[in-house]
Amino acid sequence: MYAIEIIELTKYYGRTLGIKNVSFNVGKGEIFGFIGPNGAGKSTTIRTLLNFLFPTSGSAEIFGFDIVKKSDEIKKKVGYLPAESNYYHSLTVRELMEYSASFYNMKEYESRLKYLGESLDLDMTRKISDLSSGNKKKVSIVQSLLHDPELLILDEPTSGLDPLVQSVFYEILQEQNKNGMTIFFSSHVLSEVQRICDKVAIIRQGNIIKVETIENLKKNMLKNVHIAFSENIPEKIDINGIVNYHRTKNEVRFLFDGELNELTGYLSHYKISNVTIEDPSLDEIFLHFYKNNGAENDN
Amino acid sequence: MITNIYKFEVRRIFRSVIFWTFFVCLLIVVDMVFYREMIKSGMVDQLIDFMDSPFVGDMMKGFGVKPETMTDALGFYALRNTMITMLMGALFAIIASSALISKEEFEKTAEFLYSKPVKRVDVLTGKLLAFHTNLLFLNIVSSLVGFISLEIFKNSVYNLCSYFILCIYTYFLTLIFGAFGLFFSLLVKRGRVFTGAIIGIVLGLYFLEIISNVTPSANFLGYISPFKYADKDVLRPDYNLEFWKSTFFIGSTIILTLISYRIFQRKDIII
Repeated sequence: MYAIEIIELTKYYGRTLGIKNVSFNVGKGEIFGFIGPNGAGKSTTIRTLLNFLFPTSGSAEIFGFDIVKKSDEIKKKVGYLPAESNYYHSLTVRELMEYSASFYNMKEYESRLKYLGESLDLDMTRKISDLSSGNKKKVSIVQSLLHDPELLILDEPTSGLDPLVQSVFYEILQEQNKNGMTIFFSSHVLSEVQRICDKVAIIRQGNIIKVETIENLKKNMLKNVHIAFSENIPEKIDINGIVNYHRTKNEVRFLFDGELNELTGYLSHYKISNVTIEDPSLDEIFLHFYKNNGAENDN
Repeated sequence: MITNIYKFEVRRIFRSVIFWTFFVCLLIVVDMVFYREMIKSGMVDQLIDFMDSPFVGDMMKGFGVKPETMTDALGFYALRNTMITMLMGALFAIIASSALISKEEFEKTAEFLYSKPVKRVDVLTGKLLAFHTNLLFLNIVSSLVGFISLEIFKNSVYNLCSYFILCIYTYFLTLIFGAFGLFFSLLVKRGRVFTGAIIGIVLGLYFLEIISNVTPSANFLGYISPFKYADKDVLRPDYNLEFWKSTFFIGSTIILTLISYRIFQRKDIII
């Protein structure tokens, strides 16, 4: 049984497409990334999984429960961190946490609340209306984790958090994951998905473009090549698989998806002062998929 | 699970209820003080003479004003009650009930609430129970203040039973507007605050009843308005809680509420 199993899930808002035929699975204990630009359908997918929205067609299950028929059962096991942190302004942070805990019949949550609050340096006595957006985000994190869910759904979780708090947040996530929590991490900031996720689904204009492990994505992609020559800089490197070739005074930069042995063999004829061959960043992978898919669609 | 939503919602609306209740009670007391001054100063007799003129008489009839309503404490109370407790109560009910669900969407707290393990039917039940608790509070307190005012400022014996029947009609009226407010808010696709529109609906229906009373040819229009069914003619000898009027109020409230449940259980929560 998967933590999340989505089959051909489609959602239209009237005539406007939200998501179309979205299918993928998230295994138990995985940290699964869900990336795409704003408006790609990430939040629509999440809100359909949480039954805020009813699917137009298709189906999905969380821990084997149907997302429409057994939504309240699912939510006992799920923590949700929304993209925007909006809570009842008249409450203090503690009152909100007490209200949140009351939905799970939790009798003992003080120690966990203390641990989460102290980890994120969150003042429980302050009113929600007095909090900065960063502190509201911390409230979101704490309320989503308070009941120790089996599945944590995060929608743009780090927006508004300073780098130090982000680092603490990642530590908490990794610790929770070690304890068996499945994490579904939706973001358009690719570096954070790259940092923490095992597997990723890329969504564009409501359609899933690719579901792949981070490792495989990088393996199958273009390499970033940077070569500094000591002398005899070639006008052009005449082998297959070179794109975006840029030449400066004594350096060349390009993306490469050809045979590395052929490249190193070619370069052995020249005097080189430095060479770096790097994996692409996820942003470059992302753009590559978008361009390719866009081109296919255009054709 | 309903209990925590109920407690939370009662507390959430309570300040607003206190404000509305205080305002309604203040107006009732001020009106009854005014009544005593009118009787003492003889202003009532002048007004009754003035109402004898044809045009003014018809107009006054539209507002339910007859000479005897000006002199009798309960008659005067019922006349003013129409303006204050019924209109204000209807406004409170429709504003509060229309915000029960839509406010969560408008203020985007819906993402918090609906991600919790609670069925939609329980969310709505908890919120409705809280709303009805507050509505009952408004009606009971304003009825008690009205009763105490009548006891203090009366100048002759009045029919206490008629007074309480009037209070029940007032409560029924607030019930139907409460049910309509919820129903109306759920018809709107994306949650929003539409206070202006719903105040317009209440005032429109109120004036529709007045127009129907003033103009015999437009009498049928009054039946569109729930105000028409809330009998305010307390001085009529056979004044009572009529079965079909009570059925209209309670039946409409139940039907609108059941339809609201149905809509809400299938509604997309768009944030």
